[in-house]
Amino acid sequence: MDSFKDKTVIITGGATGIGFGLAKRFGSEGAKIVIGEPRQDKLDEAIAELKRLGIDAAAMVMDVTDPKSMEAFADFAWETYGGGHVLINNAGIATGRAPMVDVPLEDLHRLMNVNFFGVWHGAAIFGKRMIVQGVPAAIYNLASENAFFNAVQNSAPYIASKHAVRGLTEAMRDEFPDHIQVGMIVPGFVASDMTKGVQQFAMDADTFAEKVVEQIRAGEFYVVTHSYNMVRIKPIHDEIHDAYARNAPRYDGDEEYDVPTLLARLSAGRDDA
Amino acid sequence: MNWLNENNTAVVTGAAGGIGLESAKRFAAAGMNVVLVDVKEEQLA
Repeated sequence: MDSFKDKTVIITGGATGIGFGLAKRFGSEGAKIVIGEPRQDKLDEAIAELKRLGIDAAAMVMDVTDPKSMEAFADFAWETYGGGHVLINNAGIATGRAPMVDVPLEDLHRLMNVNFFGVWHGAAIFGKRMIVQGVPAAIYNLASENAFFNAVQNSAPYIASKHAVRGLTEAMRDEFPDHIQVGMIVPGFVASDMTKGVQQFAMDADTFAEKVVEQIRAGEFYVVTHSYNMVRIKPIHDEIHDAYARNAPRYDGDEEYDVPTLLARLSAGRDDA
Repeated sequence: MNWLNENNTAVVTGAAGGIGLESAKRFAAAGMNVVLVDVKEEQLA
């Protein structure tokens, strides 16, 4: 997607933090911005600022955890701007930190409802429309460095939700038609309401948004911004590699249990298993 | 440390079939106490 001018960019959680940074950045290129979140006052503030910047933007009170609300949000985007070209499944929350064994289940469910099911609802509902719409489009899901490694201890629900987003996004990449570009955004420490109190140590949301928009434009799947992450990721890849080397080393014919190999053989009709 | 001995107890969820059942058999063969858990009551019996 070379230019976002006159494209409709829809951002859940687009009134604050990373979502708002992205709204301003896409808007500065002439995109029409649609933002949604549950708090009217946050939306009003965001729209006032976007308008002040000369950005064409509309907002709707909505809740990503409710598929009916997500459907209404898609209706709103199509009715307001005649279509949808970029969806950023951005809305996310963090709950209080606690040892995994002590996590209140209502916290876990609330977090998964927003961070995972909210992303799912957006991807499925907008994805279906974008498939029918037939013009180039993009869906980017907000993962986290916590989809790759544990940045924060005693945050098992958050970590699990971001791994789930990663898995969903990988599956979407496999399934979605070529005209829909799919990817995952991998923020590290970025200033937002989620990092209140320590924001002065975090990457500024506008700086982050600029890096993200360039990588979406370039068609990247992994949208990455925090270079030190690789120091954390590499030992994990090495550990996986070493575990296989020790306990499941390669052997001649080891594709016998490889599922993609089997499925390819079955679909080629060379096996009746 | 080898966990597979008669002093230890293994709890296997989804133990009525497949990987769960085969794991439970291995633990039992090693002399462990094995607790089988599954929603399929008849297949546990």
